[in-house]
Amino acid sequence: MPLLEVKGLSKEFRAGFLGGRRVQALQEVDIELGRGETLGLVGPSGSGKSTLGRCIMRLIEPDRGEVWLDGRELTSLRGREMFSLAMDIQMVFQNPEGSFDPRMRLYDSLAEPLRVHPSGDDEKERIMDMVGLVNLNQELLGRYPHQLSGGQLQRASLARAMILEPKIVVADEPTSMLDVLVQAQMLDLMREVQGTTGVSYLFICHDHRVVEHMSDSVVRMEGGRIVDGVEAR
Amino acid sequence: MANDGIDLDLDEGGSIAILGETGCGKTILGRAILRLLPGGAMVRGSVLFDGRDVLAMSGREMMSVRGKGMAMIMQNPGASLNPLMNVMDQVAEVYELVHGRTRELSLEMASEMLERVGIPTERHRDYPHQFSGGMKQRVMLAIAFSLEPRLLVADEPTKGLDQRCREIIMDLLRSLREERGCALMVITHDFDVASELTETSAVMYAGQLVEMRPTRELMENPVHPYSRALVNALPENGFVSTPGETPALTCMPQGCRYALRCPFRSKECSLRSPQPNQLDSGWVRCLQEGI
Amino acid sequence: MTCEEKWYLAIRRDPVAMFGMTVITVVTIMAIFAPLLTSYDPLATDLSIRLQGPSWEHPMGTDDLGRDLLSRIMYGAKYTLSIAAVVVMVSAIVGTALGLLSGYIGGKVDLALMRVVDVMLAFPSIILALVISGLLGSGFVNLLIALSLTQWPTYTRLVRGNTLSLKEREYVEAARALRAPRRWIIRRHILPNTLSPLLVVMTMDVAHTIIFAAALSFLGLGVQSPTPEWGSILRSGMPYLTTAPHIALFAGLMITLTVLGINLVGSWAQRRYDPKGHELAEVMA
Repeated sequence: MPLLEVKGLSKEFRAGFLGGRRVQALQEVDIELGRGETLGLVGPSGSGKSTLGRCIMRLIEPDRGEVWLDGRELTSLRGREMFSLAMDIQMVFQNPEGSFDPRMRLYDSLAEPLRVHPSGDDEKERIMDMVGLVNLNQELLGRYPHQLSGGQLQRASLARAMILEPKIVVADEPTSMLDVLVQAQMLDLMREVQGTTGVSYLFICHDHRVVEHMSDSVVRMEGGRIVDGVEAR
Repeated sequence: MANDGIDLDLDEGGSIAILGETGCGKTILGRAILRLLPGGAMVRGSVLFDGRDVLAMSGREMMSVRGKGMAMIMQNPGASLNPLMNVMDQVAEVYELVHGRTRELSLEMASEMLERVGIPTERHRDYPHQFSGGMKQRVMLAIAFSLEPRLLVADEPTKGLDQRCREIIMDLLRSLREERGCALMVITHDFDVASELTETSAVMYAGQLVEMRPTRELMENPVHPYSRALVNALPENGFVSTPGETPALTCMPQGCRYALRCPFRSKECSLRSPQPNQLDSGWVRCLQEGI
Repeated sequence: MTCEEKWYLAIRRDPVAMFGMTVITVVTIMAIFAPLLTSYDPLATDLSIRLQGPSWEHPMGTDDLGRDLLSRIMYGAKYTLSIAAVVVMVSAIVGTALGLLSGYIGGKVDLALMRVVDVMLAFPSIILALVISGLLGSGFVNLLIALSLTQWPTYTRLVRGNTLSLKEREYVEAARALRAPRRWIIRRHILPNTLSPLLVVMTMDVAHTIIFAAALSFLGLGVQSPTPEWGSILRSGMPYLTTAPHIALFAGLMITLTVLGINLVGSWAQRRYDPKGHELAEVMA
C-alpha cells in the first residue's frame, strides 16, 4: 500500500471584492507516493503544484477530496488531532533566506520543532545529529540567518524539516533560488538523506530536468489538473 | 575586496558574459563600470569607454556617457521602474530627455518601442504594478534600447522568470542587439543565458576572473577547475556536485582562492596567486601546468 | 540587525543625537530632583514680585502670581514626562495587542476592529482628544486617559500591517507546519519582528504626546492651576506677551526643546535599527 494517497483533491480560491473572481487552483487531483520514494511534481507557475503540496499538509484547507497517509485520512482531522501531523509530514521552502526567523539564532530555529513537540530526548544531541546529517558546520549554529549563505540555509531548512523524523518531506522548489554548484550539492544531499533515513519526498519544481533527476515517478500539472504521469526510472 | 585585478576588453558590437555564483562580485563589477557604486566604494584602475577613462570623468561628463553611451539593466525590474508613471511615459522620457525629441514624437516612438518588445497597445498606459515580472523586464528592455546605448550591461536579465519569459527576453536581447549593433555584457549565473547571448565568457570566482574563453568552448571544454565544477553541475551533465563553499569576500584565503576546494591543488597553490596563462583561445588563471 | 554595540556607547558618536540625549537627561533630572534643585516653593505666591523678568534671584523671572518660574518649570517637568511615558506605554500596549490579534486572526474580528480604528483615525486627533477630555473633565488622570484613547488606533494599524506581511513569511509557515499554537507563533515570531518599527514609532509618539498635553492644558482642559504643567504655564503667560513675555517664552522653549530632544534621539534610533546593513549586502550579491 502506498504511503500517501491523494484522491480527488480540489481547491478554489476566491478573490476580489465579495469573492467575485474565482480561480480553480486544483481540480480532482489524484497522486500516490510510495515509502522511501520521490514523487516529482512539475509544471509552470500557476499550475497548482505548490497549492497541492500545501493542501496535503493542510497549510491550506482543500475544498474536497481525501488525503490518506499511512492509513489515516488527513482532511477530516480537527483541532488537536492535527497536532501530531507535524511528526508525519514537513516542508522545505523555496526561499532559504525567508525560511528562518531573522531574530533567532540557527540553533533556536532548529530547536523549535523539539520545543513545540517535547519528547524525552536531549535537545542538543538531536540537533547535532541533524546538523551532521546535512553536512552543516556546527559553528554555524550560533549565527543568525543573515550571516549564512543560501546553500547553508537550505541545508539547515532540511535539517529542521527532518528533526521530527517525518515520513514525508514536501520540498517546494528547494533549489530554484540556489546557484548551479550549490543546487547540485543540495540535490545530492537530499538523496543521501533519503538513503539514510528512508524519508519520502514530494518534490515540487518547475524545472523538469531537476525533477527527472530526483524522482522515481513524475506527475505533470497544468492549470490545476494533472496532465501527465510518468515513471522516471 | 569585491573585485581584484579585473582586466577585460569588449569590442564594439561584441558580447561577453560574466559567469559566476552569488557573492563572487559580478554585480559590483557591472556597477563599477557605470560608476553606480555607493559612496564608500574605492575603485582603482581604469574603465576606458571609447578611449576615455570613465572613472576619471566629472559628474557632468559621466551623465552624458551613462545612457547614450553605456546603459545598465538591474536585477530587479520592479524596483527600477517608477511606480507613479505609466510605462509609455517612462519610455517616452528617454526620447525627450536623452534624445531631445518633442513630447508628441517621444510618445509615438515610445509606443513603437513597447510594441517591439511585445507589449500590446492597450496596455501602454498601464502602470508598472499591473504587469507581471516578465513584462516589467520587457519594459526595462524598451527603456534600455530606446537609450540607444553602445554598451548594455544586463545584470541577471532572466532571474526569477519562468521558461517562456526567459526565452522571450533572450530573444529580445538578441534581436535588439543585432538591429542596433550595441555591445552586450551579461552578468549571470545561468549558462543557458550565456550560451544564447554571448560570444565570449569570463568565469568569476571570489572577486577574480579565473578563465576567459569563447563561450561555446568554455562550456564544452572548461579548463579552470572551478569552471569544470560549474559545467559538471549543469543539468545536461547530470548535476554532478563538487564539495566546498565559496569564500566570503571579506575573508580571502592566501594564494589561489580556489585551492581549498581544488582536486588538483599542490602546496604551491596556497602560497602563490596565479596570474593569467594564455591558451589557444583565451586565458586561465591557474598554477598547474597541463590542466 | 547586526548592532551588538550597546546603545549608550554608540550614541556618543553622533553629536546631534547627543544633544537630544542631553536635553532628555536634564529634563529627567529636573523631574526627579526638583525639590533638591530649587529652594523656592512652586506654589508660593508673592504678589509684590509678580511679572519680574529674569534676575539673579529668579533666573527665569516670576509669573503673574509672583511664583518663581524656574522652580515651576522644574516641578512641571515630571508632569510632562510622566504624561509622555504613561500615555505612550498604555496606548502602545493596548494598540499592539489589538493589532496582533486583528492581523493574525483576520476574518470578522479584523473587519470589526479596523472599522473602529478607521472611525477614530478619521477625526483629527486634537478634536478627538478635546472631545474625550471635555467629556471626562479636567484633571491629570483624565488627561492621561483622554490621550491614551486618542493614540492607540495608530499603533493598532501599524502593528496589524506588519502582522499581515509577516504572516506570509516562510518561517511563519514553517511554524504553522509544526502545528505550533497561535499564541506561540504570535509571541515568538510575529511580535519580536514588529518591535523595531514599533519602538521607533513610540519614541516619536512621546514627543507628539507632550505637545498634545501642552495643547490641551493650554486650551483649559487637562491639568488645572496651580499645577505647574508646562502647557498651563504657557497659557498663563499669554495675556502678558507684550508686558512680560518671559513666562510664555520659557514655557514654550522648554516644551520645544524637550520635543526636539526626543525627536533627535528617535531619528538616531531609527537610523541605527533600520536594516541599513542591507544596502551593502544587496550590492554584494
